[in-house]
Amino acid sequence: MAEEVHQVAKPVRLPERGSDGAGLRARFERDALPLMPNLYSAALRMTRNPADAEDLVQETFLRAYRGFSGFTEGTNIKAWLYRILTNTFIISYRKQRREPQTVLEDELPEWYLYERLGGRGAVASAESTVLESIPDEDVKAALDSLPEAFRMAVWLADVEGFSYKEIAEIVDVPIGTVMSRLHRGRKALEKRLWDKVKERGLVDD
Amino acid sequence: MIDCEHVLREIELFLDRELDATESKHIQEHLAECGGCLERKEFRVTLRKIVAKKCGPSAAPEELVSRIRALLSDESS
Repeated sequence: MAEEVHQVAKPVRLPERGSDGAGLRARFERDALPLMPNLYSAALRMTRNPADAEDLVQETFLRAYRGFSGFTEGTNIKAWLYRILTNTFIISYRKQRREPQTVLEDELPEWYLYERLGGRGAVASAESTVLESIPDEDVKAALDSLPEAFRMAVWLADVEGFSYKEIAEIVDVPIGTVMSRLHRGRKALEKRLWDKVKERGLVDD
Repeated sequence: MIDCEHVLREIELFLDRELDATESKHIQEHLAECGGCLERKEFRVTLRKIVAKKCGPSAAPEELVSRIRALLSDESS
């Protein structure tokens, strides 16, 4: 009985719960802000323009901060931020800047790049040497040349390592659509990387 | 024993870790015995690694980072 009274008399402090502004801010600084390189790089791929990417990221973090009290601690904060990024992009950018229609090749064979690099009697390590020698800007340009839905599916899976289910939730489409976008997007990326390999003369004709 | 055609069709799901444990084990067993499929799988693994590395996250501009921090301070006050 005496002990109970003692406990009640103690001041109750919940510093990490984010119930007060300072705790919320600290938690946001700790959990959300370190992901800025990821979101900025994704925004660059989405908008393909550094100024738009900065605006998009700024708006995303502001929205995220305003909604942060609704975020359940311990759940996937990167997926949560990506969801906000995607929504912000749709609302603020996609409408005003309709990107030119890019066509995705439909009839590309499976193993497009493998057949071309591997069919040269090269050992496996030589194939990766060729791939390694493609400049970073060329790989980014190859990814950027895919239509938005496809390049973001590839980005989310292959760069960020999200599962199909997570991607489906981030971009708000069925899992089957994610799978199809990934499959077609990756194949088209192989084709475009091959174009870069040829342009740069990284293999003998 | 599953055949190469089956394995190569499933390899994308396999690498994405989206197959169930049983199917995944079948693929692994096949890959352990089939050099041709293993080589294609390794090619895809390498390709993904290179794309991830070359397109991977790079630092946000310092100016953007400080602008966002300042905005958060405005929001907090």
